[in-house]
Amino acid sequence: MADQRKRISLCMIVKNEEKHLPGCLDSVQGIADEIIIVDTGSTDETVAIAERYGAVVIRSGWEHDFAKARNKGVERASGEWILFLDADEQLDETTKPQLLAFAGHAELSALLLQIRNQIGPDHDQGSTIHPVLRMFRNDPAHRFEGRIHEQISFSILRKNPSARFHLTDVVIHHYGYRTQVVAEKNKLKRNMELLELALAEEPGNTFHRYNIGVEYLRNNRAADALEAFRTARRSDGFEQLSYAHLVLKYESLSLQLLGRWEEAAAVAREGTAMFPDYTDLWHYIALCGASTGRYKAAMEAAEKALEMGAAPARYHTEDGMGTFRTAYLQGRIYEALLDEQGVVQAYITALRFKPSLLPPLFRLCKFMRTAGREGQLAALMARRIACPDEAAMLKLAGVMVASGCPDSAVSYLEWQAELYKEPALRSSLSSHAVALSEGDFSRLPFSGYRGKEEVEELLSPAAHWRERAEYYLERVQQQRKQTAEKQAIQSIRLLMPGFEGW
Amino acid sequence: MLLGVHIIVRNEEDMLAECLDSIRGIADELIVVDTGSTDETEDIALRYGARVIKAEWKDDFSSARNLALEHARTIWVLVLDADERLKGDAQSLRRELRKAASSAYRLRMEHLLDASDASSSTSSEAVRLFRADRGYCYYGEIHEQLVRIRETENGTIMKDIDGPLSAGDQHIVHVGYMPDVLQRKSKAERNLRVISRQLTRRPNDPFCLYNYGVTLCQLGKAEEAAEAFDKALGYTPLTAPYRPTLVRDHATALLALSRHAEAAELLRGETLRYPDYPDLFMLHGNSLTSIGLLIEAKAAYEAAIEAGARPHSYISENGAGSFLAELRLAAVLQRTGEDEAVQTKYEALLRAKPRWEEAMFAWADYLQQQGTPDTDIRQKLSAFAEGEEAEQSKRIARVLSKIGAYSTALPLWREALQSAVHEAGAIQLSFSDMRGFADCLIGTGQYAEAASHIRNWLQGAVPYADAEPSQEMIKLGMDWALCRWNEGQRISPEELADVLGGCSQLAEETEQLNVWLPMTQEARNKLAREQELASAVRWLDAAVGHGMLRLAFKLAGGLYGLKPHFETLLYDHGYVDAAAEQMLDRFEKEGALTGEQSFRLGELLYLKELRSEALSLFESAADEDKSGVYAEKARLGASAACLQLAIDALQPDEYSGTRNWDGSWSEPDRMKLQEALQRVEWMDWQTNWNGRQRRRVNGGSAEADFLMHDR
Repeated sequence: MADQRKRISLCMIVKNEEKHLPGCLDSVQGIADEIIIVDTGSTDETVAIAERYGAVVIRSGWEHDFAKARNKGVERASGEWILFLDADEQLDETTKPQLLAFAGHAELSALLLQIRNQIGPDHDQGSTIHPVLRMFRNDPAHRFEGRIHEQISFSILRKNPSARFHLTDVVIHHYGYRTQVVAEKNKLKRNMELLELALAEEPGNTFHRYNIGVEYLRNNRAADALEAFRTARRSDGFEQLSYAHLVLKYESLSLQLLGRWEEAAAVAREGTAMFPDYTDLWHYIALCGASTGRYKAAMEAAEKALEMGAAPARYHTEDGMGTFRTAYLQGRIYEALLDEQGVVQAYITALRFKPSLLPPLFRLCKFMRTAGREGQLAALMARRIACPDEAAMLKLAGVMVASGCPDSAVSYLEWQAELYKEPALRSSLSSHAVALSEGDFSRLPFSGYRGKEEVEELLSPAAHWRERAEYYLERVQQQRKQTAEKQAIQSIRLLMPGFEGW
Repeated sequence: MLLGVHIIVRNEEDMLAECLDSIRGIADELIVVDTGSTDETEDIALRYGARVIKAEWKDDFSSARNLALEHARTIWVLVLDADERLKGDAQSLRRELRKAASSAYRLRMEHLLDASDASSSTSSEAVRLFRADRGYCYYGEIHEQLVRIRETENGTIMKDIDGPLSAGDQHIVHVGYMPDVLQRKSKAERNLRVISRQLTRRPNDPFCLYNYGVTLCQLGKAEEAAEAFDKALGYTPLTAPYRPTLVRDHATALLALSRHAEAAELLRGETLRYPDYPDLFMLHGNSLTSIGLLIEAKAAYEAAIEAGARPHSYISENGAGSFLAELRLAAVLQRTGEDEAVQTKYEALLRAKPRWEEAMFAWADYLQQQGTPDTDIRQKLSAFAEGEEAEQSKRIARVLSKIGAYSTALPLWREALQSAVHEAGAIQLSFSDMRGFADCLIGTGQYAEAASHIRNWLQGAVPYADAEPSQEMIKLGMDWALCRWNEGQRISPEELADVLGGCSQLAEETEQLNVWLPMTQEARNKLAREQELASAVRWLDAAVGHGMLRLAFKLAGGLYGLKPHFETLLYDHGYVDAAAEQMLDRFEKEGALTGEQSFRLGELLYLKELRSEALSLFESAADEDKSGVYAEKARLGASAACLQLAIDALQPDEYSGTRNWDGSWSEPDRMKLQEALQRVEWMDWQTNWNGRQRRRVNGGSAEADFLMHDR
């Protein structure tokens, strides 16, 4: 290549990251021309791995200061741009080429990337998305600030108040939020200590206050979190803060975790006055309403959230707010209202948004079973839920079996077998149906179910008692004559926990 | 002449004078249509200067009213009934009529329901003031409506006359709904006759059916009333002005019949149709509470209060959109465990209505449940005291007696009694107050004194005459006999005739028991007829209720087949441990328990947190009980026990990955199970002990000790 200039320098700080580092460094191949790694005292293979990837490794002691550590790396970088990542992050394969294109734009000072905080082990399991500044022009004036939650934007804007930041679609997958990983690394504790230190130094710093609130939330300390968010909200110029919407959302969330639903709803409502297009707040209003039995208000808010769809990109949002999550919530509200049509409609909407979702299917089966309408389940599933292939149909049958509706599963498969002309598919579906009707459930997903009698022995003691409680409730429900009485029992049965595919 | 007052009457001598007093100086003309009085009615009317028109009663209110209208010589007419009183400034009414813009006005009507409690009333509006020169007339044989009839080419057109609410402070107070008044006049029966006749001609007329139901309610025939209302609803157009009231009355009747679920279903739809009608929401709350949907009930009461704060023109029970709904809400909050809110609710209620005994009782009962000492409860109640000292201390005494705080209530009763003697020279306690006082004496072991007081009361009471003795009297009579026997005394025949003479059946029963019960030492196990057994069970109930357990024990041994009743009564009156001991004892001997006994034992074990033992008893009760009532209770008990066992068996890591509705924060199984359990407990299957019984359940049952050690 003629152009030997280094375009992009990747700067990282690491400690004992042998597990994550290769994934991260693999993901920047073809993007970063230079890798600079500040190691703050690894005792594992981290340094060797970094060197294997050709990185410049700087060994440094840990001084309880993220900005300082990051800046050590930036000092050494020779590229035009600095890209910084954490070891538990990876650039998304399909979107990362954009970075190369934007690096050529002389008018830009910094790029914002989309960080996806993965909650589960798979990519499509719930995640939260928000934009972060991760690439900036290499300049002696551009240095990180802040012991924790270090920021680069302040110094860029100080040098050039009209600096242009560009919001890209490049995605960073972040695995550090997975609780397991978090626990492994004791990060929660470390973050907290740092934030407490930082707050002791600057008690008036709203950003720190907000961040410590988030940490409290993650540590299940909702009362402390609430305090922190309330303090943050009282600070001067709160409305101008880029994360003001999050303070409101988390304040409401803290109250929800404390079971103070009415206050939580009030905070969310106040929030909508400031951020009327922030879907998450409407979702919360719906959730709080539902939790206090105000189903009408809840339903209105849920409708509104669904109408709005996912929140605009400038907000930090959770996957599904305004889409599948809200539709699912709506289904639960219809359950509470015992409105069968509504239940079906809402859960199918949730599935349209996200076909891989299992809970709406499980809830739907449970609802039909507790309503004594199991006979309609197979037809409903066949008519309303489109399955692209055999695997999807078997999954559906599996859900029915696991929800205690094995007969429905058999008729569903028989039905589908008749519907499809293709001989291989047809015979395979019929053979599954035959196996099911003979009591062999092992070929289905969610197997483990072996019919009503045998299942008892497989259950945990708690599940065993639960089943018996349900048996008695079902008897009472059958004995009662009036719909309202039957429904009162049904609503108890709908509360029973069980596997729902989360 | 400006204004005439029209009244139609028949045998209203005790009502009319007060009515005419209330319109003194307002009317230029007074027309009274008498449809056949045989008493002083006509004289009274003449004394007040009325023009009396005699007419034959043809079971038709409209024709009588129209007769008066034909004789009118005034521009305006005010229509009243003898059991109504006009309140407000008469002169301002006349002033307003002179510049009236409308030709008809509605007046506010207040219907008093209870003579002793002025706040117990409902209100409505009715067209009672209208111009006599516009050709208006009445139509309909009962619940007559003011109309204008016009003959046109297309036939007769009839239009209901309505007008704005009169702006002045005048309103009509209707005393005729007060139960004693109703009974005295047998007005309801007369109405029923009229309406029945109408119904034979027009069997599906919804307004007739509705009025038929209302009249049946007044006569205490709830079942038939509900049927009439149901039929009426089927024929009533949605736009009919009386439809919302019909819905309310129908729901009220269903609730009175304990058909809660039906009421809930009816109101679920109707509250949406009439979202401003507080009564419907309150009734909905009541029905939901009864079927165990407490969260929904809470929302309904809150909606009632919200609707009550807005102006509306529905016929509404006083307090349905405010204090009554608040009181019900407090009771629900009590059960959902929101103690802080309960406390503030009761205090606010009593601050607003310090003399409201129902609220005082609910609060005291709650405090007792919370373990507040009786003297503290008394103090708290006194803190809200208002009004006449004697009345208030009687009120507190009543409340304390009801929650079983006998030794705290007793001095208050003595005071009240003393001041009553002072003032009027005679004892002026009502029968229910006497019972309160007697309960306190018996409850504190002062049987002889109780017996002598009751004796005096019964002898001093108005002769029974031809009337049936009241339930209160019968109960007092039983208490008297029980007190005597409990002291080991046999009652002499003369004394028995003297005290219970007016009450033949009671006297007979007492005589039979008097022969053997006071002196007997051992079980007789006599075979008894069914009726005899039933009466013995009533006596047993009273004896156990008063804690006279040795006497009850002897009584139970007297007749064959009483023993199981004794055991269940012990349990129901709060002697749970003794009951269990007795039941198990008999179980050992006979090898069988009835379904209702198994249920009670199961419940006891459940309360003692022995869940799997409770479960097996509930299971056998569910199989055993033939009547079905206890089978259902037992099934609910079984599911509660299972849920509790499920919670106990839950492993710390057993969250099954279920999530909240939100999908983002985990909601552990434990929480869900606990919520399910709570909802099962809200279903009405557990024994509901009152204040006195609760004390025994919680260990205050020394008098039952002999049953425990005599095994």
